[in-house]
Amino acid sequence: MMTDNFRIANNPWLTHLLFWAGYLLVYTGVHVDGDNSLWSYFLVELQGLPTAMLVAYVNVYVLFSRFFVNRKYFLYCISAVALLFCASLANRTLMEKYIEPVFYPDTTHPDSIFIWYMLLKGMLWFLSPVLLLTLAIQIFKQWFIQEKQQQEIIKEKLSAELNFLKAQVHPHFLFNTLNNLYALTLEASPRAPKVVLKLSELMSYMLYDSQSESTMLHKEIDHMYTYIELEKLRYSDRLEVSLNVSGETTHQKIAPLLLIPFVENAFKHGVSNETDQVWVTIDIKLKAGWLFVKVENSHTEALFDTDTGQHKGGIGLFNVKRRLELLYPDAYELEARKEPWRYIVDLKLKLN
Amino acid sequence: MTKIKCLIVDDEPLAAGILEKYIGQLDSLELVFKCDNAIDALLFLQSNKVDLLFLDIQMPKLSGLDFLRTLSKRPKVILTTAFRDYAVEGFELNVLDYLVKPVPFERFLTAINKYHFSNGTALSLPPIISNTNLGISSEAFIYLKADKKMVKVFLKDILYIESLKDYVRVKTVEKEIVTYQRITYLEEKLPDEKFLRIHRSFLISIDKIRSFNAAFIEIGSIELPIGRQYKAEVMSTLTAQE
Repeated sequence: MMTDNFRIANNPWLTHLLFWAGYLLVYTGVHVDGDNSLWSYFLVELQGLPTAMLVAYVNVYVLFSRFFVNRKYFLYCISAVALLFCASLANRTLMEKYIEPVFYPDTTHPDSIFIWYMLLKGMLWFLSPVLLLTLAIQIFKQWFIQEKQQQEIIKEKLSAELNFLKAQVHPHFLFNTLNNLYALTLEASPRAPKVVLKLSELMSYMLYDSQSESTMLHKEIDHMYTYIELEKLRYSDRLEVSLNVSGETTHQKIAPLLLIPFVENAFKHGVSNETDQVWVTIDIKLKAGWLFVKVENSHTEALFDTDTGQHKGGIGLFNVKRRLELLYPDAYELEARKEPWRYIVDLKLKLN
Repeated sequence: MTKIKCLIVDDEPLAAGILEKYIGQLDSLELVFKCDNAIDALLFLQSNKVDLLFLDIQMPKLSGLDFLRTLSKRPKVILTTAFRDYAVEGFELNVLDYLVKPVPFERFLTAINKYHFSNGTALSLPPIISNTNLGISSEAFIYLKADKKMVKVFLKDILYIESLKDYVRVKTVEKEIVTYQRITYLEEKLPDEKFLRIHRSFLISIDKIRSFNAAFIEIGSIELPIGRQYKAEVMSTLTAQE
């Protein structure tokens, strides 16, 4: 955890030990006035140590974490005063019943525990600084942790965005398309203008629409069409693609560029590595708030050596999985499977 | 019919050329002037009548938007730019439309339509070129594994699918394929508009239904039972189809 930073050498015992040693030294230093030896003052402070520790630990582990953290400040104040009183009482008892009779039988005489001004002095003069100091430490610690978490979140967001960018820009795809376009313009093909418009649509969606947190599902699907049409240029008749959309997709929102990696994956692994006739089928269905996406593509390996049939998928799918976890926690099922002759990616996603 | 007088202001000759070509393709439009900066446009507008102005935003010396602000009496304006970021500002200046480059001809037509609409004139536009897909099969299909090969099956050929536990029998118009697959997977995969689960064991193609009553659906040459738990949905789907 992040509390590590509050420990010396990452050892809680050593930290606490040093804290109390420091406490004793400071208190001795504050009270010393030259009438008696430094040692005797140190012993006096040492006698008060158990009570101080009682106040400190009850304050930190009970009162602070129960009341203060939960913003029950009034309860915290009441219980803090009660703690001070009880601790002061305990201190008096310790002094009168055990320490004085045992260690100073000659110089002291037994007194009643309930001497009010002594109790009050114990509360205010001796124990309340301990309480306030530990409270201050806890508040600082809490603030520090929150600050750190905040930074952690920002960092996470940034790296997610970076991954996001990585997922977006596929230079090889861009340059392949440009190369195809070059070929088309060389022969002044009437298809060239259409390809330029498609590429422009694709870039526009990737650069602008994907900036927002969510986009319309039909836009994401349009993007898929655009992507497939551009990919199709590379493979011409060797590749068969079926894209089938079912259900009312116009009013449903979805995180942008969430589905396209499945399609990219099918082309990257299934199509570009193969030499024979290849195919990709994409079936998207929206039904009662659930989105079903099934992407299948051909591959020629007949082997079925993987024992589970589970396929790890590329880095692209890994990123999607992470995004799904961040965006739709516990609202999705994703399965990628490699069967003889085909890959299947099966996604079920609950949208809002 | 009087033609709509158009003016193109764009500092990039190729971009202006595209618009000029588009304008030339429509009988209702007439290009009266073309210039590469706002100053020339200003001078032209002082002595000539223009109905529709195609205006680029990023131009040297005077930007399209600043140029618009200086005009006291404006023609209808269509902004053309490669940047989307000016769209809001453009609409604040009450422009007719905002075209992001590259501009497809279809999009150009939509903008011209807006001009007609704002003038209340009837539109006489050529049919919009159909947005044919370059690569996607017009007939949806699936691939099924049968006898160590993958068999392509068009959705339109499927009659019904029968569940055989971990296998399914896909009955098409001309053949029958038994494949290792669960019927729920296919039910999720196939479009609801075309396929209907009528029984724990049967998923049917709606288009292939010959007749139905409360208990059976006749499809191809066979009668399939309607499962009790599917009955309500089957009936509401089938009666809504009529």
